[in-house]
Amino acid sequence: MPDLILVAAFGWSTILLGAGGVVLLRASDTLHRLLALDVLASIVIILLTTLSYVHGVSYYVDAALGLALLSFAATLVAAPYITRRRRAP
Amino acid sequence: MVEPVLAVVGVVLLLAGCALATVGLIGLLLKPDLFDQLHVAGLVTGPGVILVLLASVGTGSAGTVTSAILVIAFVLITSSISTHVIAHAGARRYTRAETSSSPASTGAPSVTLDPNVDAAAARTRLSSGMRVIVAYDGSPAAHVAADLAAAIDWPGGTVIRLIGVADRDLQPFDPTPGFHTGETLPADVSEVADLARPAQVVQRPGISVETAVLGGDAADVIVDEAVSFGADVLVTGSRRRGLVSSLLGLSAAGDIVDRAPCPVLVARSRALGTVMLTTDGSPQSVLATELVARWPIFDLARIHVVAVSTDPGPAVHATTRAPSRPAGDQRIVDAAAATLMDAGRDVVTEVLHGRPAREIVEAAGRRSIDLIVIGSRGRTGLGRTLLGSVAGEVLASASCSVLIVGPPVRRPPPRVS
Repeated sequence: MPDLILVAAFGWSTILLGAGGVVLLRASDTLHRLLALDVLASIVIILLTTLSYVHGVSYYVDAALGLALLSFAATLVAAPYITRRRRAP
Repeated sequence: MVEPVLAVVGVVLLLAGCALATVGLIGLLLKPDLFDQLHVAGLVTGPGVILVLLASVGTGSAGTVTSAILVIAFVLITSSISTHVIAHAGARRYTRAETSSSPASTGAPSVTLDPNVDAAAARTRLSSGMRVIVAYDGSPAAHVAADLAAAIDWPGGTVIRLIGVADRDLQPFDPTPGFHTGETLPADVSEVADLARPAQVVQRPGISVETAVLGGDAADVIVDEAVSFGADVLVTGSRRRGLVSSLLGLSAAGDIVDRAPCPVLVARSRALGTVMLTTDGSPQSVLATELVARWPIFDLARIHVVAVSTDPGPAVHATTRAPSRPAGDQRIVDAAAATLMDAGRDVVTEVLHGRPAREIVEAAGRRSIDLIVIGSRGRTGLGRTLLGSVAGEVLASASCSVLIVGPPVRRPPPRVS
């Protein structure tokens, strides 16, 4: 794949990461925040994958796999925990 | 021959994945409702990621393609489960919020609250004097705390114990009624131990003031003292916290609030003329209501009772949720107001809409409230750092005093002496 496209895709995913941060900051309650974190993890996976294409090495994708696993576990643990909260005053 | 074709396919997949992720993020930014957001977030967490990973065919590297296929298989399973889990939590949370008003509005709230608290007995005991701890470290914030303690009209017979905390370990003074003035203290602790001024400020006929200087970690010492003294309320100053330290919970006041065995009054103003009681029908806010109804120091105050409707917006579920919820919040407010009016309080009620902490703080600013009374679930440590708490947010951002009422039964962690 042409380097120009790869670098552009990498730069664009970085911008998306920033947009994901904005989503996280604008989240109005904890469930929205959890969802924003889930999306942020996905964007980081995209970022790591494009990075791996740019450098032509595969281990960034393995890192992405680890991240996907952690983010999934975090969501599974956090969502029921949040539901147990009583409603905020 | 195949390679250029794969490269083109890879570029197309990569760009398509980035485009899908972009569309998803724009949707996330435009849609406030959780369920709408789940829909568009699915574009990023599912197809967006998978297309970018599929673009690995364009790299021609077997290792990268293998890893990418593994991740794709994983993401196919996990992204749908994650979305389902969040949606499930959202559905349960909103239906619970809808029904949570019914217990508070049907019966006497004090019955469901805590069987150990006999309201009448407590009232009798309180009218013959309260047990108050004022934490004092010589800072301007501590002066405010002392001034507020002085301005409050404590019932006759109240015992106020002023606690100065020295950083280094000292032999604790045995506090006896009356004054320990500066002369009786070691010279090297005079800067924290100058309790004579606040003691004079607080001193009034009918109430007794004790002073003690103790050594050790401020929050530990004050919480221990509140436990052994059997304090009804703990008054402390609060230095304005920065963003980082408030995120990490690095503040003696926050630490005390988390662990205190009694309500904590964080002083920022010097009067208690107008009080805002925030309520949501939870056991903690019912406890806070009882407390405002019972404590003699609120006898002359004007009480604003507010509830905040956390309606996430008039989107998808407006038809099922919206009609019932404002009524529910109104019932909660009315139940609290009824309790207060039975106790002879001057009450105004209001239902706010939006983010709880922000609405409470803004409303308090608009009505020049002196004190916000708020219930807290007493979440500590990791949960507080990750999830925040409305009480913690109000405490961090309010410019008036805040009285935080914890769960009915709260024991500090056991400490080795």
